Amino acid sequence: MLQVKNLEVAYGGIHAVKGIDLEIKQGELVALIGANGAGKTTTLKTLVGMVKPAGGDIIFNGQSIARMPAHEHVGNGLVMVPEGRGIFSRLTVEENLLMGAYVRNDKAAIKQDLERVYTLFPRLKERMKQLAGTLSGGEQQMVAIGRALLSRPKLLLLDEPSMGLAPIIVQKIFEIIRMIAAEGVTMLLVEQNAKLALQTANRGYVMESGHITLSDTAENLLANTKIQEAYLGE
Amino acid sequence: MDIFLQQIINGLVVGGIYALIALGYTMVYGILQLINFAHGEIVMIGAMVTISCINFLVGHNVNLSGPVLLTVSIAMAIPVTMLLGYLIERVAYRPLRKAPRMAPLITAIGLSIVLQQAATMIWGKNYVPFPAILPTDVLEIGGASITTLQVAIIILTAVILTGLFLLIERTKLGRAMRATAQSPDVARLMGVNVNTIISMTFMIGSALGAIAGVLVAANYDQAHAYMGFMVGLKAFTAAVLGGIGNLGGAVLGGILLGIIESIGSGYLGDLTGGFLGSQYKDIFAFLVLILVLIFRPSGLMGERVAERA
Repeated sequence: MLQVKNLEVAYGGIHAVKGIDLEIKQGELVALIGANGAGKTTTLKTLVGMVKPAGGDIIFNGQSIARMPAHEHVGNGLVMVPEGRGIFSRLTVEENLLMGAYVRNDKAAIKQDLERVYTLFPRLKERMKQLAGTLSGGEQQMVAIGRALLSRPKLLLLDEPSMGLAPIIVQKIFEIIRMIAAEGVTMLLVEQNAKLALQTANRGYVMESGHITLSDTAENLLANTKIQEAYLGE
Repeated sequence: MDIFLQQIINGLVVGGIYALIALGYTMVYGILQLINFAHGEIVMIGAMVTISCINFLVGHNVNLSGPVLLTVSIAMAIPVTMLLGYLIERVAYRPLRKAPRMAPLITAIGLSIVLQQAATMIWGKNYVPFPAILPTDVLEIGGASITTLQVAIIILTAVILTGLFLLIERTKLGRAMRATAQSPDVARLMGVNVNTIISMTFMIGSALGAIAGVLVAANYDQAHAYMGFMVGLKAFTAAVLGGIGNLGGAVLGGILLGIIESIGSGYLGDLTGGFLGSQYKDIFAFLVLILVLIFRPSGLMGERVAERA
Protein backbone atom coordinates (compact mmCIF):
# COMPACT_ATOMS: atom_id res chain seq x y z
CA MET A 1 0.00 0.00 0.00
CA LEU A 2 2.78 2.44 0.94
CA GLN A 3 6.39 2.26 -0.12
CA VAL A 4 8.95 4.79 1.01
CA LYS A 5 12.16 4.59 -0.98
CA ASN A 6 15.41 6.16 0.14
CA LEU A 7 13.54 9.17 1.53
CA GLU A 8 15.63 12.16 2.53
CA VAL A 9 14.31 15.25 4.26
CA ALA A 10 16.16 18.40 5.21
CA TYR A 11 14.45 21.41 6.62
CA GLY A 12 15.33 24.32 8.80
CA GLY A 13 19.00 23.50 8.22
CA ILE A 14 18.63 20.01 9.74
CA HIS A 15 19.09 16.83 7.75
CA ALA A 16 16.37 15.06 9.70
CA VAL A 17 15.74 11.99 7.55
CA LYS A 18 18.73 10.41 5.83
CA GLY A 19 17.52 7.94 3.25
CA ILE A 20 14.96 5.61 4.81
CA ASP A 21 12.91 2.75 3.35
CA LEU A 22 9.54 1.77 4.74
CA GLU A 23 6.79 -0.49 3.55
CA ILE A 24 3.26 -0.90 4.79
CA LYS A 25 0.89 -3.53 3.46
CA GLN A 26 -2.88 -3.44 3.37
CA GLY A 27 -4.38 -4.18 6.79
CA GLU A 28 -1.15 -3.87 8.77
CA LEU A 29 -0.56 -1.85 11.90
CA VAL A 30 3.05 -0.73 11.77
CA ALA A 31 4.86 1.06 14.58
CA LEU A 32 7.68 3.52 14.05
CA ILE A 33 9.58 3.94 17.28
CA GLY A 34 12.65 5.88 18.29
CA ALA A 35 13.99 8.55 20.60
CA ASN A 36 13.06 12.20 20.56
CA GLY A 37 14.51 13.89 17.48
CA ALA A 38 15.12 10.68 15.58
CA GLY A 39 13.09 12.00 12.63
CA LYS A 40 9.81 10.15 13.18
CA THR A 41 7.52 13.17 13.06
CA THR A 42 9.41 14.62 10.11
CA THR A 43 8.87 11.34 8.27
CA LEU A 44 5.11 11.49 8.86
CA LYS A 45 4.92 15.15 7.88
CA THR A 46 6.70 14.35 4.65
CA LEU A 47 4.28 11.52 3.88
CA VAL A 48 1.33 13.95 3.97
CA GLY A 49 3.07 16.76 2.08
CA MET A 50 3.58 19.18 4.97
CA VAL A 51 7.32 18.97 4.38
CA LYS A 52 8.85 18.48 0.95
CA PRO A 53 11.36 15.65 0.60
CA ALA A 54 14.93 16.42 -0.47
CA GLY A 55 15.30 13.06 -2.18
CA GLY A 56 13.79 9.62 -2.65
CA ASP A 57 10.20 8.71 -3.40
CA ILE A 58 6.90 7.87 -1.73
CA ILE A 59 4.54 5.49 -3.51
CA PHE A 60 0.97 5.20 -2.26
CA ASN A 61 -1.27 2.66 -3.99
CA GLY A 62 1.00 2.65 -7.02
CA GLN A 63 1.21 6.42 -7.40
CA SER A 64 4.10 8.71 -6.47
CA ILE A 65 2.85 11.22 -3.93
CA ALA A 66 6.15 12.81 -2.93
CA ARG A 67 5.34 16.15 -4.58
CA MET A 68 1.61 16.26 -3.86
CA PRO A 69 0.35 19.40 -2.03
CA ALA A 70 -0.74 18.74 1.55
CA HIS A 71 -4.44 19.31 1.00
CA GLU A 72 -4.72 16.64 -1.71
CA HIS A 73 -3.69 13.67 0.41
CA VAL A 74 -6.93 13.33 2.34
CA GLY A 75 -9.01 12.76 -0.77
CA ASN A 76 -6.49 10.07 -1.65
CA GLY A 77 -7.11 8.23 1.62
CA LEU A 78 -3.88 9.18 3.37
CA VAL A 79 -4.88 10.78 6.65
CA MET A 80 -2.81 11.99 9.59
CA VAL A 81 -3.64 12.66 13.22
CA PRO A 82 -0.96 15.24 13.96
CA GLU A 83 1.28 15.42 16.98
CA GLY A 84 -0.36 17.43 19.76
CA ARG A 85 -3.76 16.47 18.27
CA GLY A 86 -4.22 19.67 16.26
CA ILE A 87 -7.85 20.17 17.13
CA PHE A 88 -9.58 23.45 16.32
CA SER A 89 -10.14 24.74 19.83
CA ARG A 90 -12.68 27.41 18.91
CA LEU A 91 -14.82 25.08 16.82
CA THR A 92 -17.32 22.81 18.51
CA VAL A 93 -16.64 19.09 18.83
CA GLU A 94 -19.08 18.35 16.04
CA GLU A 95 -17.58 21.02 13.78
CA ASN A 96 -14.14 19.53 14.37
CA LEU A 97 -15.42 16.11 13.39
CA LEU A 98 -17.11 17.51 10.29
CA MET A 99 -13.83 19.13 9.22
CA GLY A 100 -12.61 15.54 8.78
CA ALA A 101 -15.27 15.12 6.12
CA TYR A 102 -14.32 18.37 4.37
CA VAL A 103 -13.44 16.77 1.03
CA ARG A 104 -16.46 14.46 1.03
CA ASN A 105 -19.82 15.31 -0.49
CA ASP A 106 -21.81 12.20 0.38
CA LYS A 107 -24.01 13.77 3.05
CA ALA A 108 -25.89 10.64 4.08
CA ALA A 109 -22.69 8.62 4.52
CA ILE A 110 -21.06 11.45 6.47
CA LYS A 111 -24.02 11.41 8.85
CA GLN A 112 -23.61 7.66 9.29
CA ASP A 113 -19.89 7.97 9.92
CA LEU A 114 -20.55 10.71 12.45
CA GLU A 115 -22.93 8.41 14.32
CA ARG A 116 -20.32 5.67 14.21
CA VAL A 117 -17.74 7.99 15.78
CA TYR A 118 -20.26 8.91 18.47
CA THR A 119 -20.82 5.21 19.16
CA LEU A 120 -17.07 4.74 19.42
CA PHE A 121 -16.72 7.79 21.67
CA PRO A 122 -19.98 8.33 23.59
CA ARG A 123 -18.17 11.08 25.49
CA LEU A 124 -17.98 13.16 22.33
CA LYS A 125 -21.70 12.83 21.70
CA GLU A 126 -22.40 14.34 25.12
CA ARG A 127 -20.12 17.24 24.28
CA MET A 128 -20.86 17.72 20.60
CA LYS A 129 -21.92 21.37 21.00
CA GLN A 130 -19.04 22.27 23.32
CA LEU A 131 -15.96 24.15 22.07
CA ALA A 132 -13.22 21.60 21.55
CA GLY A 133 -10.74 23.80 23.44
CA THR A 134 -12.66 23.17 26.66
CA LEU A 135 -12.18 19.40 26.51
CA SER A 136 -9.58 17.39 28.43
CA GLY A 137 -6.48 16.14 26.63
CA GLY A 138 -7.87 12.63 26.29
CA GLU A 139 -11.16 13.89 24.90
CA GLN A 140 -9.26 16.09 22.44
CA GLN A 141 -7.35 13.04 21.25
CA MET A 142 -10.71 11.31 20.74
CA VAL A 143 -11.82 14.29 18.64
CA ALA A 144 -8.62 14.10 16.60
CA ILE A 145 -9.01 10.37 15.95
CA GLY A 146 -12.75 10.65 15.30
CA ARG A 147 -12.10 13.47 12.87
CA ALA A 148 -9.56 11.34 11.01
CA LEU A 149 -12.11 8.50 10.78
CA LEU A 150 -14.56 10.88 9.13
CA SER A 151 -11.98 11.26 6.35
CA ARG A 152 -12.45 7.52 5.63
CA PRO A 153 -8.73 6.77 5.72
CA LYS A 154 -7.16 3.99 3.69
CA LEU A 155 -3.94 4.57 5.60
CA LEU A 156 -4.08 6.35 8.94
CA LEU A 157 -0.94 7.96 10.33
CA LEU A 158 -0.95 8.54 14.08
CA ASP A 159 1.70 10.83 15.52
CA GLU A 160 2.30 10.31 19.25
CA PRO A 161 -1.30 9.58 20.27
CA SER A 162 -0.20 9.03 23.88
CA MET A 163 1.59 12.36 24.24
CA GLY A 164 0.69 14.32 27.36
CA LEU A 165 -2.05 11.92 28.45
CA ALA A 166 -2.51 10.13 31.78
CA PRO A 167 -1.68 6.39 31.64
CA ILE A 168 -5.29 5.31 32.07
CA ILE A 169 -6.35 7.54 29.16
CA VAL A 170 -3.48 6.20 27.07
CA GLN A 171 -4.80 2.68 27.61
CA LYS A 172 -8.21 3.80 26.39
CA ILE A 173 -6.80 5.49 23.29
CA PHE A 174 -4.84 2.36 22.41
CA GLU A 175 -7.96 0.23 22.87
CA ILE A 176 -9.61 2.44 20.28
CA ILE A 177 -6.58 2.10 17.99
CA ARG A 178 -6.89 -1.68 18.18
CA MET A 179 -10.60 -1.45 17.41
CA ILE A 180 -9.94 0.69 14.37
CA ALA A 181 -7.26 -1.73 13.21
CA ALA A 182 -9.69 -4.60 13.67
CA GLU A 183 -12.08 -2.82 11.32
CA GLY A 184 -9.42 -3.11 8.63
CA VAL A 185 -7.89 0.38 8.61
CA THR A 186 -4.17 0.22 7.79
CA MET A 187 -2.12 2.27 10.24
CA LEU A 188 1.32 3.69 10.82
CA LEU A 189 1.81 4.52 14.47
CA VAL A 190 4.60 6.80 15.61
CA GLU A 191 5.24 6.53 19.34
CA GLN A 192 7.75 7.27 22.02
CA ASN A 193 5.98 4.77 24.23
CA ALA A 194 7.71 1.91 22.39
CA LYS A 195 6.40 -0.89 24.55
CA LEU A 196 2.77 -0.01 24.10
CA ALA A 197 3.29 0.66 20.38
CA LEU A 198 4.95 -2.71 19.79
CA GLN A 199 2.34 -4.53 21.87
CA THR A 200 -0.30 -3.03 19.58
CA ALA A 201 1.43 -3.33 16.19
CA ASN A 202 2.11 -6.23 13.83
CA ARG A 203 5.49 -4.93 12.74
CA GLY A 204 7.87 -2.20 13.79
CA TYR A 205 10.65 0.01 12.53
CA VAL A 206 13.25 1.56 14.79
CA MET A 207 14.55 4.98 13.83
CA GLU A 208 17.76 6.52 15.13
CA SER A 209 19.07 9.95 14.09
CA GLY A 210 17.52 9.91 10.64
CA HIS A 211 18.14 6.23 9.80
CA ILE A 212 16.04 3.09 10.08
CA THR A 213 18.29 0.83 12.13
CA LEU A 214 16.02 -2.15 12.65
CA SER A 215 12.84 -3.59 11.23
CA ASP A 216 11.13 -6.73 12.35
CA THR A 217 7.88 -8.19 13.61
CA ALA A 218 6.62 -6.50 16.74
CA GLU A 219 7.09 -9.72 18.71
CA ASN A 220 10.75 -10.04 17.75
CA LEU A 221 11.41 -6.39 18.52
CA LEU A 222 9.85 -6.76 21.95
CA ALA A 223 12.11 -9.78 22.55
CA ASN A 224 15.24 -8.02 21.24
CA THR A 225 17.58 -7.26 24.15
CA LYS A 226 19.04 -4.17 22.50
CA ILE A 227 15.58 -2.73 22.03
CA GLN A 228 14.65 -3.65 25.56
CA GLU A 229 17.62 -1.74 26.91
CA ALA A 230 17.28 1.28 24.67
CA TYR A 231 13.52 1.77 24.43
CA LEU A 232 11.62 -0.48 26.76
CA GLY A 233 13.33 0.51 29.98
CA GLU A 234 14.10 -3.06 31.05
CA MET B 1 -33.50 64.17 24.68
CA ASP B 2 -34.14 64.69 21.00
CA ILE B 3 -30.51 65.64 20.34
CA PHE B 4 -29.37 62.55 22.18
CA LEU B 5 -31.73 60.28 20.24
CA GLN B 6 -30.66 62.00 17.05
CA GLN B 7 -27.02 61.27 17.77
CA ILE B 8 -27.82 57.62 18.55
CA ILE B 9 -29.55 57.29 15.19
CA ASN B 10 -26.68 58.97 13.35
CA GLY B 11 -24.23 56.84 15.27
CA LEU B 12 -26.06 53.65 14.39
CA VAL B 13 -26.00 54.53 10.69
CA VAL B 14 -22.29 55.33 10.63
CA GLY B 15 -21.47 52.52 13.07
CA GLY B 16 -23.14 49.92 10.87
CA ILE B 17 -21.00 51.08 7.97
CA TYR B 18 -17.85 50.94 10.12
CA ALA B 19 -18.84 47.42 11.10
CA LEU B 20 -19.04 46.33 7.45
CA ILE B 21 -15.55 47.68 6.79
CA ALA B 22 -14.12 46.45 10.09
CA LEU B 23 -15.18 42.93 9.14
CA GLY B 24 -12.90 43.13 6.11
CA TYR B 25 -9.94 44.00 8.31
CA THR B 26 -10.71 41.47 10.97
CA MET B 27 -11.37 38.52 8.63
CA VAL B 28 -8.04 39.01 6.89
CA TYR B 29 -6.26 39.52 10.20
CA GLY B 30 -7.87 36.38 11.60
CA ILE B 31 -6.34 34.24 8.86
CA LEU B 32 -3.07 36.00 8.00
CA GLN B 33 -2.33 38.18 11.05
CA LEU B 34 -1.98 40.95 8.52
CA ILE B 35 -3.52 44.41 8.66
CA ASN B 36 -4.60 44.99 5.10
CA PHE B 37 -4.28 48.76 5.05
CA ALA B 38 -5.34 48.80 1.40
CA HIS B 39 -8.84 47.80 2.51
CA GLY B 40 -9.85 51.47 2.91
CA GLU B 41 -9.01 52.00 -0.75
CA ILE B 42 -11.21 49.05 -1.71
CA VAL B 43 -14.04 50.86 0.07
CA MET B 44 -13.27 54.04 -1.87
CA ILE B 45 -13.09 52.25 -5.21
CA GLY B 46 -16.40 50.52 -4.47
CA ALA B 47 -17.98 53.95 -3.99
CA MET B 48 -16.32 55.45 -7.06
CA VAL B 49 -17.22 52.61 -9.42
CA THR B 50 -20.81 52.69 -8.21
CA ILE B 51 -21.08 56.45 -8.76
CA SER B 52 -19.55 56.11 -12.23
CA CYS B 53 -22.04 53.36 -13.06
CA ILE B 54 -24.98 55.45 -11.90
CA ASN B 55 -23.77 58.44 -13.91
CA PHE B 56 -23.24 56.26 -16.95
CA LEU B 57 -26.71 54.76 -16.72
CA VAL B 58 -28.35 58.13 -16.09
CA GLY B 59 -26.31 59.65 -18.93
CA HIS B 60 -27.63 56.99 -21.28
CA ASN B 61 -31.20 57.71 -20.25
CA VAL B 62 -31.76 54.37 -18.62
CA ASN B 63 -35.17 54.77 -17.09
CA LEU B 64 -34.99 53.14 -13.69
CA SER B 65 -36.05 54.31 -10.26
CA GLY B 66 -33.30 55.53 -7.92
CA PRO B 67 -33.03 52.50 -5.64
CA VAL B 68 -33.01 50.10 -8.62
CA LEU B 69 -30.35 52.19 -10.33
CA LEU B 70 -28.28 52.09 -7.16
CA THR B 71 -28.71 48.34 -6.75
CA VAL B 72 -27.68 47.67 -10.34
CA SER B 73 -24.63 49.91 -9.94
CA ILE B 74 -23.54 48.30 -6.67
CA ALA B 75 -23.94 44.94 -8.37
CA MET B 76 -21.44 46.17 -10.97
CA ALA B 77 -19.02 47.54 -8.37
CA ILE B 78 -18.92 44.43 -6.17
CA PRO B 79 -17.21 42.17 -8.74
CA VAL B 80 -14.70 44.96 -9.45
CA THR B 81 -13.66 45.22 -5.79
CA MET B 82 -13.71 41.44 -5.36
CA LEU B 83 -11.33 41.07 -8.27
CA LEU B 84 -9.17 43.85 -6.89
CA GLY B 85 -9.12 42.24 -3.43
CA TYR B 86 -8.18 38.92 -4.99
CA LEU B 87 -5.38 40.51 -7.02
CA ILE B 88 -4.02 42.45 -4.06
CA GLU B 89 -3.62 39.25 -2.06
CA ARG B 90 -2.33 37.22 -4.98
CA VAL B 91 0.18 39.75 -6.28
CA ALA B 92 1.25 41.73 -3.23
CA TYR B 93 0.76 39.60 -0.12
CA ARG B 94 1.13 35.97 -1.15
CA PRO B 95 4.78 36.26 -2.23
CA LEU B 96 5.46 37.71 1.24
CA ARG B 97 3.59 35.00 3.17
CA LYS B 98 6.79 33.77 4.81
CA ALA B 99 8.54 37.14 5.06
CA PRO B 100 8.90 38.98 8.38
CA ARG B 101 5.64 40.68 9.36
CA MET B 102 6.94 44.17 8.68
CA ALA B 103 7.28 43.43 4.95
CA PRO B 104 3.60 42.81 4.17
CA LEU B 105 2.64 45.69 6.47
CA ILE B 106 4.75 48.15 4.51
CA THR B 107 3.50 46.62 1.28
CA ALA B 108 -0.05 47.25 2.48
CA ILE B 109 0.68 50.91 3.08
CA GLY B 110 2.41 51.17 -0.30
CA LEU B 111 -0.53 49.51 -2.03
CA SER B 112 -2.88 51.90 -0.36
CA ILE B 113 -0.95 54.88 -1.79
CA VAL B 114 -0.82 53.30 -5.25
CA LEU B 115 -4.58 52.75 -5.25
CA GLN B 116 -5.25 56.31 -4.04
CA GLN B 117 -3.10 57.75 -6.81
CA ALA B 118 -4.68 55.50 -9.40
CA ALA B 119 -8.07 56.73 -8.23
CA THR B 120 -7.07 60.38 -8.60
CA MET B 121 -5.99 59.60 -12.16
CA ILE B 122 -9.37 58.08 -12.97
CA TRP B 123 -11.77 60.19 -10.93
CA GLY B 124 -9.73 63.35 -10.31
CA LYS B 125 -8.72 65.00 -7.07
CA ASN B 126 -11.99 66.79 -6.42
CA TYR B 127 -15.04 65.62 -4.55
CA VAL B 128 -17.28 63.48 -6.68
CA PRO B 129 -20.91 64.22 -5.83
CA PHE B 130 -23.22 61.29 -5.17
CA PRO B 131 -25.95 61.48 -7.83
CA ALA B 132 -29.26 62.74 -6.42
CA ILE B 133 -31.29 59.68 -7.33
CA LEU B 134 -32.53 58.61 -3.92
CA PRO B 135 -35.68 59.83 -2.21
CA THR B 136 -34.97 62.39 0.50
CA ASP B 137 -38.02 61.90 2.70
CA VAL B 138 -37.53 62.51 6.39
CA LEU B 139 -39.33 60.60 9.11
CA GLU B 140 -39.87 61.88 12.64
CA ILE B 141 -39.43 59.63 15.67
CA GLY B 142 -39.60 60.97 19.19
CA GLY B 143 -38.31 64.39 18.28
CA ALA B 144 -35.44 63.05 16.17
CA SER B 145 -35.46 62.86 12.41
CA ILE B 146 -34.24 60.04 10.22
CA THR B 147 -34.07 60.01 6.44
CA THR B 148 -35.36 57.09 4.42
CA LEU B 149 -31.78 56.65 3.24
CA GLN B 150 -30.63 56.19 6.83
CA VAL B 151 -33.40 53.69 7.46
CA ALA B 152 -32.33 51.83 4.34
CA ILE B 153 -28.68 51.87 5.46
CA ILE B 154 -29.55 50.41 8.86
CA ILE B 155 -31.75 47.69 7.37
CA LEU B 156 -29.27 46.82 4.64
CA THR B 157 -26.40 46.65 7.11
CA ALA B 158 -28.39 44.38 9.41
CA VAL B 159 -29.31 42.07 6.53
CA ILE B 160 -25.72 41.83 5.29
CA LEU B 161 -24.32 41.21 8.75
CA THR B 162 -26.86 38.45 9.34
CA GLY B 163 -26.02 36.91 5.99
CA LEU B 164 -22.31 37.00 6.73
CA PHE B 165 -22.76 35.37 10.12
CA LEU B 166 -24.87 32.62 8.61
CA LEU B 167 -22.16 32.08 6.02
CA ILE B 168 -19.40 31.90 8.63
CA GLU B 169 -21.28 29.90 11.26
CA ARG B 170 -23.53 27.64 9.25
CA THR B 171 -21.82 26.72 5.98
CA LYS B 172 -18.99 24.40 5.12
CA LEU B 173 -17.04 27.30 3.64
CA GLY B 174 -17.44 29.29 6.84
CA ARG B 175 -16.32 26.33 8.93
CA ALA B 176 -13.25 25.95 6.76
CA MET B 177 -12.54 29.67 7.10
CA ARG B 178 -12.70 29.47 10.88
CA ALA B 179 -10.58 26.32 10.93
CA THR B 180 -7.99 27.93 8.68
CA ALA B 181 -7.88 31.02 10.88
CA GLN B 182 -7.06 28.84 13.88
CA SER B 183 -4.60 26.46 12.34
CA PRO B 184 -3.79 26.58 8.63
CA ASP B 185 -1.54 23.52 8.83
CA VAL B 186 -4.19 21.29 10.36
CA ALA B 187 -6.84 22.67 7.99
CA ARG B 188 -4.58 21.61 5.13
CA LEU B 189 -4.47 18.09 6.56
CA MET B 190 -8.28 18.05 6.39
CA GLY B 191 -8.05 18.78 2.67
CA VAL B 192 -8.66 22.52 2.85
CA ASN B 193 -6.87 24.45 0.12
CA VAL B 194 -5.71 27.27 2.33
CA ASN B 195 -4.84 29.58 -0.56
CA THR B 196 -8.39 29.31 -1.88
CA ILE B 197 -9.77 30.13 1.57
CA ILE B 198 -7.50 33.17 1.82
CA SER B 199 -8.61 34.38 -1.62
CA MET B 200 -12.25 33.89 -0.66
CA THR B 201 -11.68 35.87 2.52
CA PHE B 202 -10.23 38.80 0.62
CA MET B 203 -13.07 38.68 -1.89
CA ILE B 204 -15.83 38.53 0.73
CA GLY B 205 -14.21 41.40 2.66
CA SER B 206 -13.94 43.42 -0.54
CA ALA B 207 -17.58 42.85 -1.42
CA LEU B 208 -18.60 44.13 2.03
CA GLY B 209 -16.18 47.02 1.55
CA ALA B 210 -17.77 48.02 -1.76
CA ILE B 211 -21.22 48.13 -0.20
CA ALA B 212 -19.89 50.09 2.75
CA GLY B 213 -18.19 52.55 0.41
CA VAL B 214 -21.43 53.23 -1.42
CA LEU B 215 -23.26 53.73 1.87
CA VAL B 216 -20.61 56.21 3.05
CA ALA B 217 -20.84 58.12 -0.21
CA ALA B 218 -24.64 58.11 -0.14
CA ASN B 219 -24.74 59.18 3.50
CA TYR B 220 -22.37 62.13 2.96
CA ASP B 221 -23.56 62.84 -0.62
CA GLN B 222 -20.01 62.62 -1.97
CA ALA B 223 -16.96 60.48 -2.55
CA HIS B 224 -13.30 61.29 -2.82
CA ALA B 225 -10.13 59.50 -3.91
CA TYR B 226 -8.73 59.88 -0.40
CA MET B 227 -11.90 58.97 1.50
CA GLY B 228 -10.63 55.43 2.08
CA PHE B 229 -7.89 56.60 4.38
CA MET B 230 -10.02 58.07 7.15
CA VAL B 231 -12.90 55.64 6.93
CA GLY B 232 -10.42 52.76 6.77
CA LEU B 233 -8.58 53.99 9.83
CA LYS B 234 -11.83 54.34 11.76
CA ALA B 235 -12.96 50.87 10.79
CA PHE B 236 -9.56 49.55 11.79
CA THR B 237 -10.07 51.27 15.16
CA ALA B 238 -13.47 49.59 15.41
CA ALA B 239 -11.89 46.20 14.70
CA VAL B 240 -9.27 46.78 17.40
CA LEU B 241 -11.92 48.01 19.83
CA GLY B 242 -13.93 44.82 19.33
CA GLY B 243 -10.86 42.58 19.39
CA ILE B 244 -9.11 42.13 16.08
CA GLY B 245 -9.72 38.75 14.49
CA ASN B 246 -13.11 38.45 16.15
CA LEU B 247 -16.08 38.93 13.80
CA GLY B 248 -18.66 39.70 16.48
CA GLY B 249 -16.15 42.12 17.94
CA ALA B 250 -15.84 43.96 14.64
CA VAL B 251 -19.58 44.54 14.55
CA LEU B 252 -19.77 45.58 18.19
CA GLY B 253 -16.70 47.81 17.80
CA GLY B 254 -18.10 49.42 14.65
CA ILE B 255 -21.46 50.26 16.16
CA LEU B 256 -19.94 51.44 19.44
CA LEU B 257 -17.44 53.63 17.65
CA GLY B 258 -20.15 55.13 15.46
CA ILE B 259 -22.26 55.98 18.49
CA ILE B 260 -19.32 57.30 20.55
CA GLU B 261 -18.22 59.47 17.67
CA SER B 262 -21.70 60.73 17.00
CA ILE B 263 -22.56 61.55 20.60
CA GLY B 264 -19.12 63.01 21.16
CA SER B 265 -19.32 65.32 18.19
CA GLY B 266 -22.87 66.32 19.12
CA TYR B 267 -21.75 67.57 22.52
CA LEU B 268 -18.20 68.61 21.69
CA GLY B 269 -19.17 72.23 21.24
CA ASP B 270 -20.89 72.36 24.64
CA LEU B 271 -18.08 70.45 26.34
CA THR B 272 -15.39 72.83 25.18
CA GLY B 273 -17.46 75.98 25.50
CA GLY B 274 -17.67 76.37 21.75
CA PHE B 275 -13.89 76.14 21.32
CA LEU B 276 -14.06 72.89 19.32
CA GLY B 277 -16.94 72.25 16.92
CA SER B 278 -18.33 68.97 15.61
CA GLN B 279 -15.81 69.05 12.75
CA TYR B 280 -13.37 67.66 15.31
CA LYS B 281 -15.38 64.45 15.66
CA ASP B 282 -12.44 62.38 14.41
CA ILE B 283 -10.76 62.98 17.76
CA PHE B 284 -13.06 60.43 19.37
CA ALA B 285 -12.15 57.53 17.13
CA PHE B 286 -8.47 57.94 17.84
CA LEU B 287 -9.02 58.64 21.51
CA VAL B 288 -10.83 55.31 21.63
CA LEU B 289 -7.98 53.63 19.77
CA ILE B 290 -5.41 54.98 22.22
CA LEU B 291 -7.48 54.02 25.27
CA VAL B 292 -8.09 50.52 23.99
CA LEU B 293 -4.43 49.99 23.20
CA ILE B 294 -3.48 51.14 26.69
CA PHE B 295 -6.15 49.43 28.79
CA ARG B 296 -7.41 46.46 26.81
CA PRO B 297 -5.16 45.69 23.84
CA SER B 298 -7.02 42.45 23.13
CA GLY B 299 -10.24 44.41 22.57
CA LEU B 300 -13.68 43.99 24.08
CA MET B 301 -14.24 40.51 22.68
CA GLY B 302 -10.61 39.45 22.40
CA GLU B 303 -9.52 35.84 22.73
CA ARG B 304 -10.76 34.24 25.90
CA VAL B 305 -11.13 30.54 25.12
CA ALA B 306 -8.20 28.54 26.45
CA GLU B 307 -5.86 27.40 23.70
CA ARG B 308 -4.88 23.96 24.85
CA ALA B 309 -4.48 22.24 21.51
